[in-house]
Amino acid sequence: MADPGTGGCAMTAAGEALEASLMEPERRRFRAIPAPLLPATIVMIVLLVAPLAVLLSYSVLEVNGAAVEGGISFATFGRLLSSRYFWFLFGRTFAIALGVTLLCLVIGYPIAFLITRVRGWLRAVILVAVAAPLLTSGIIRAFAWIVILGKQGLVNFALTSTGLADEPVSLLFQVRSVVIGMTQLLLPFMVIPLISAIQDVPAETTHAARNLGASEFRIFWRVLVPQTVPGAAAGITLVFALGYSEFTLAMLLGGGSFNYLSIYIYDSMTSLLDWGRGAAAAALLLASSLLTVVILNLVVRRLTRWSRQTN
Amino acid sequence: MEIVLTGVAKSYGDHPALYPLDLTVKEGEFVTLLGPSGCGKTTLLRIIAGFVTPNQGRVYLGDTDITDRPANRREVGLLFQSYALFPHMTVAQNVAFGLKVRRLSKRRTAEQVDRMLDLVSMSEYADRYPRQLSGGQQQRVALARILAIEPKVLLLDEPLSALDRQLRIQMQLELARLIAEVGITTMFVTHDQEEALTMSDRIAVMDRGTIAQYDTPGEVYDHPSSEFVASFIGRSNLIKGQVVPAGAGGAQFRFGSHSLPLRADAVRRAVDVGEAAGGIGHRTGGTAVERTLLVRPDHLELLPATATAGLPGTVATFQDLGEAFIYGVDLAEGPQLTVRVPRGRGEGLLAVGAPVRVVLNEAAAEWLIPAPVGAP
Ligand SMILES: Nc1ncnc2c1ncn2[C@@H]1O[C@H](COP(=O)(O)OP(=O)(O)OP(=O)(O)O)[C@@H](O)[C@H]1O
Ligand SMILES: [Mg+2]
Repeated sequence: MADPGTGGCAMTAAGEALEASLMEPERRRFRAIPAPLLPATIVMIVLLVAPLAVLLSYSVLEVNGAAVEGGISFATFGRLLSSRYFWFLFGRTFAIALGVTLLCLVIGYPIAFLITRVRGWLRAVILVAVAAPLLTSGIIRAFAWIVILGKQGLVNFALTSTGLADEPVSLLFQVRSVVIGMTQLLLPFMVIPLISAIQDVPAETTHAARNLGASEFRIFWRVLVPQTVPGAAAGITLVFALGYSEFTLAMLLGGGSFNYLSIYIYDSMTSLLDWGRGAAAAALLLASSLLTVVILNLVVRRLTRWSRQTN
Repeated sequence: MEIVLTGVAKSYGDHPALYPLDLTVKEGEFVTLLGPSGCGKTTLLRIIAGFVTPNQGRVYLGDTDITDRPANRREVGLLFQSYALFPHMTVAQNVAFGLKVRRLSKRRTAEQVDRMLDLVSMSEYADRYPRQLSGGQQQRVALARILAIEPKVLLLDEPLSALDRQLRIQMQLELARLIAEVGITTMFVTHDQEEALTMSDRIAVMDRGTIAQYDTPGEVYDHPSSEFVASFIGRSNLIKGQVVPAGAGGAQFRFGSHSLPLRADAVRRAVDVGEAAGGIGHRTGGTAVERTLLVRPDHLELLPATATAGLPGTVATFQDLGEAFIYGVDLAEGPQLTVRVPRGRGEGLLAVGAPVRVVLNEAAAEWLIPAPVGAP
């Protein structure tokens, strides 16, 4: 290894981390945090890991309301996992997050593709339109959807005034409106990684395919799409994780009768003051989200064997 | 199959990349497009492959006009400079791609893939991904992928330029052997003149969107049609001077106070092509004409300053190429000449500043650059 004094602070730290990972695999986790990352690591621990640990600890303690009353107990989990309603809610949340992810993929892919093919102002307009949800507050966005989808909203106005429907259709405060709202909100998280993935596909590979006689259809499905799998995987991971734990939109667009895992946790904590149940549900949300993402990444790793250097 | 271009021209916006040109590549011929960067070589290949639409002119494959045919229906194999292998497919899948397009049966596809990988000696890498291959190996796979579909002609756009020198020379020979084995009509783009000279049946030297000369490597080297071609191919001494009649049908080349005898055939070809044979005096009306004389550096020899033959000068530059030395000699009167002395021939090295005499050797085949069209 080069003289550690010449490489500057970051280089030295990285060098040390490398050395640590080579020499003591079992201890590297503790030595691998490079010095420049220390402040950020401390902030993360204080503001994220610690509160999360406190919260999750409630799920395995005997609690009454918000007060800890006894030692370790898994009774709360038992109560939750034997509740049919919880399983229904769990399944619904998972299904909605998955559905939103698929919708984002199906809508996002053509948009990303279009953005890479157009130039100038048109490209800017589409990009801004896609990224707009990121630039507005969640509450304003939700109310905008209420204005559009409500009984006296834009869609119903259009439907009734053109005679396509006799009376206003109820679009709001249902699974449907939550899915629509979330798809719009999370679309940019799909489109942006897809754009960079599509741009990374060498144009010459599509030319070569055409030269070998392939139709545009075959080029799209056999040459272009497979090469964008890593980008799609990044988008899928982001959209799923965010949609699975989304709260504001579910609350505002779902209406009073709609329930979602995040709303269930919120209600447990604030209305029912059952911190044990809230914490246990939060733990399950977190664990299942992580598990899904891990499984997804294993699948993608398998699909993208080709992008690694060696066997 | 034969490739015929008639009056093909292409402009990007109002910037002409190719002026109207005609070009015929005969069945089974290996033709190299050689020229400096930006002269339109890639554009020409892409027109034949169907990726660029010419503004005018027609492209024929054999007797078929393919000008308006889409790129995926041309049966013209194009080997890209970057190889353009599909990164998500194994070597075997890459080679099979074009066969699947053609809906060959599984068995015939597998057979053809095996045959092609065998041809390029890549059989043992069939299950690797392109990223796991070296540059030379990737290129052989790309070649196998193209040859697998049995295209009617093969186009190669600087296929060797991404390789290091050693591998490039090795691949040159291998590529030439493979192509000869398959016997396919080939157009090869390069801006490396050595590559062009060693590999081709004919060379089309291109200059700013035109074909400056289209001939065999020997002709292009020995009898370049213009100063551009002469200076682009090989090292050259271009000496400006006058051709003056001398004696019975002979002529001399004069520059400064020097004069060199010229062989009659060089004069005939360069001074007034097309006119009935006769003495130079007859053709020039007895007066001198301005011409440029080409003398290749290996047609010159250095003699000691004490010699009486040759033109006096001093060594100005020196370069050791390994197999030969290159001297730049400032003539006492006239331009600087480049002289190539094979290693082992020179009696010791000459220092910069040493006085020498320069003389044409026996093998000398001097050549007068023909006058540009329209000049006297
Ligand atoms: N798509 C394009 N749009 C505009 N101009 C182009 C385009 N492609 C090529 N040109 C121009 O046309 C001319 C010929 O380009 P071409 O790529 O054919 O050159 P080349 O001989 O292949 O050069 P090189 O040896 O550098 O590859 C150049 O002046 C180039 O700038
Ligand atoms: Mg080029």
